[in-house]
Amino acid sequence: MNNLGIIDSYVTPNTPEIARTWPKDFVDFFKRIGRVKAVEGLPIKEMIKEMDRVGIEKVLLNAIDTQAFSIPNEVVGEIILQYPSRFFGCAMIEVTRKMGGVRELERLVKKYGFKAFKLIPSYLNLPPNDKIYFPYYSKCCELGLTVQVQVGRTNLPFLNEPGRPAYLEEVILFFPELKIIGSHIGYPWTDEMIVLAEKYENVYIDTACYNPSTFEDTFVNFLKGRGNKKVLLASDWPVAEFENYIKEFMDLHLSEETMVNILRDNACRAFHLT
Amino acid sequence: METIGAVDVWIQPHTKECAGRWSAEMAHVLKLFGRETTLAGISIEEMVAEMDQAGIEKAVMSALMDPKGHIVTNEFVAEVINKYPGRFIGQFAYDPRTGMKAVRELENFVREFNFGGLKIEPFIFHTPPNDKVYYPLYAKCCELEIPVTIQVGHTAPLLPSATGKPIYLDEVALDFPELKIVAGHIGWPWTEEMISIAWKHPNVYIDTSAHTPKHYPPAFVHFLKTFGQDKSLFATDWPLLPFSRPMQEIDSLGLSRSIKRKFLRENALKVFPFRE
Repeated sequence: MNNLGIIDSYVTPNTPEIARTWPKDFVDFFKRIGRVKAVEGLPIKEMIKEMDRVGIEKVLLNAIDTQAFSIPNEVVGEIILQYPSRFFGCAMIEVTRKMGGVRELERLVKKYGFKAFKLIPSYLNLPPNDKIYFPYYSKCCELGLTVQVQVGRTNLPFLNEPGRPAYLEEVILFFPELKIIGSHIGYPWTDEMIVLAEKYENVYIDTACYNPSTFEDTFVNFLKGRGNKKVLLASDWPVAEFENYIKEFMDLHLSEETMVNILRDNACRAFHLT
Repeated sequence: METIGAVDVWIQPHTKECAGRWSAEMAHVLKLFGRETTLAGISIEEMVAEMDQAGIEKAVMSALMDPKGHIVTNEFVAEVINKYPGRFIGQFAYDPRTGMKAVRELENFVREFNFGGLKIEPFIFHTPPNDKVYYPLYAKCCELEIPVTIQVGHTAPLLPSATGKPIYLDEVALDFPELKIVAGHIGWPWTEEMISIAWKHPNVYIDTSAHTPKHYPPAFVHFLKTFGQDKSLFATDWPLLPFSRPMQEIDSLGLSRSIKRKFLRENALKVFPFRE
């Protein structure tokens, strides 16, 4: 698969400068899962070498904008501008900024070419069908941006409930042209997320935060069947290592066609990549 | 007597073709106002002559909807205002539940056809104005820097009134502080509620459409004469009211010259983007 040009749909940049700013919750989490190297960070050039070693051509880079922690959109934007063939970006803005945030999103997209917009509804305790998001969704439609929404439980001390995938259905129906990614599979509501991805053309699921060896049977069955065009490979690096993640994925022994879809083609469709 | 050159911020065309599309539930309001005879239609030329005679220099002209669709289309409004440059501002009305279609049409009418406002009568959609279906449109109004007019108060057509409670506008004004909101129809029987919202938010205004000055609620008259003098806009809701009667009754309010000028003209010119 090394010549396929794998696309990884969920990565958080982790340069040594960024690593120094991880809050204690995250540092403890990295240590707990044995990713001590992640605590130190890795320069972008070294990260690209890791990508090359396993045949990853491109990754989505997340910006983070929450009260607890921030990786500024500008920092991500500059990396994308420097390596446009290797990275594409997912911007994040606290939606409580209302129209100020909507205007900022448009500015960021025009300046840096971001392809996606990130929402983590649990952080605000506002489910994704709340009206506070609607001006952002309409702006994403206008700009052709894909919305990446975290679904499922959260590992941080916030309510899980806003992560229920079912909240997305109202958004999907109101904005049928909007491409929506249920990010992080959706556990413990995996079936609820699968239903949406099966039912609606523009809905996808990324695998962030779950190693392929731990995928639930229901999800493996989905990606072998009708989900083969709806699932995006997402390592959630630096939480997982690229090499191990790809190896575990290969060990699922999927058909070649399904592999190609999940490792690359679905992401091209979901993010309007050329 | 000084001629002020009034601006009427709520009218809709009522040609024979438009009038023919009024449904029974909507036409009920014309009956209440003793204006069923207008259902025969009034040509644009007659309407303009009536404005001239009453001393109304400019007007905000909107499309009109009922629950089944358009009675007056945005396209028709565009056609009319194009014939009278500087005299009218076009106001866009569309079903918000169509999502991005409504947003894109609004932008198109503002950019291509000189429209300068959005009009929402929430009872048409059985949906109060703080509902999410309107939020993409409000956001677009902010970007285009145009005001939104939202009907408040009870619903005189035979449709439910609850969507007209002024308190719903509080949340809209909080979520879109830069958005100019004109609350149309005063808000009766929740006049005090409406006044409290207009007093609280710098960009919330009240228009008097569908009310004649002799019957303005006393609380509104007090508002108009005192702390609301920069927030009150004159309007008729023609063809519901003729242009002449409210204009003739204005002086019965006993307004100072300066407040009368603000009410009939200056406040409207601050809120609506009329071109010279």
